[in-house]
Amino acid sequence: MTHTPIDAPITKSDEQWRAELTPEQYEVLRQAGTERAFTGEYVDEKADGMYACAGCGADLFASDTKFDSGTGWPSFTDPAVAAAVTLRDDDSMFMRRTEVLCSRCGGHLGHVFPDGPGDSGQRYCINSLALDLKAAEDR
Amino acid sequence: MLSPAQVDRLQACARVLDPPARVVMTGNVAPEAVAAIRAGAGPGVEVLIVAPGAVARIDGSIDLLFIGPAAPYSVAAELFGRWPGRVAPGGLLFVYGAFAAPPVTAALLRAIGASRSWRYYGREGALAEYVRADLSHGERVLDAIAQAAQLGFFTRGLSQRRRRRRRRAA
Repeated sequence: MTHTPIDAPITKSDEQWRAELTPEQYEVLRQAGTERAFTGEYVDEKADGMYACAGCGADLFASDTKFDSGTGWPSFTDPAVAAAVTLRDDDSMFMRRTEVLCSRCGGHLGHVFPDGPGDSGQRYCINSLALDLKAAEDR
Repeated sequence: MLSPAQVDRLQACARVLDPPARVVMTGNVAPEAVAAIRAGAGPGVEVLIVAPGAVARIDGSIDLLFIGPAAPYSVAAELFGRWPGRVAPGGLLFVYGAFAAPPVTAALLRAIGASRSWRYYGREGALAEYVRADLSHGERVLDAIAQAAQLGFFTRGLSQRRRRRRRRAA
């Protein structure tokens, strides 16, 4: 499987992001919002493919790392490649969490927790609005 | 990513269980829910995370039952058919995905919503709480009205999801 290169950072103005994203995507990707649990279109998605950043198209998570976490958000054990995401401490909402950002465009994707079922022990809890599934047959 | 309020509620309810007590968590259980229950449960409170079909493995009654989301509807219906009846009178039932995930909501309302054995206590987002009780006819009617009032939350979530799917397909 080929990956969209992530070594070309994307910088856009706030106006450009507003123009390109839906208001809901803008709220999540550029304002670090969180979609309501169980409302995302990929929560129960089982199709094969690659989940790309809805902001810039960078490949982020392969469908074979997706699992049902019971949280109401799409969850993954690992990113497609480690460099695809950037992790940052997040102390908002009176909680200590680790925020997950797209390395290419800096878009907020969700959070990662150290209680995942895979070998990595990580659970990437990601907003559907931040993702765009490229189905395997389309690639 | 359970909200702080949801975590607090689970923790608080686990904290007030008098030992010896038993908590059973089944369905697709979010790790934060397990952590919250374990953080609140004191010595003498047994916390079991069990597969949906393992009801025969649990002897005796349950003081706090947590049911995580399950899909499709048949699986969710089986969960609600098997487990809530094991909760002791006065015991608690938490349902995550209630009034949010369609299969859970449908199975919940069918098995619990109209039952005289359960009192709807409220919800924090998608985490609904029920108490095992013996409701009179009047209480049952009021309970049904309280739950029906939550359907607005459910339909708003459903229409959000549909709108996003339609937009993606267009």
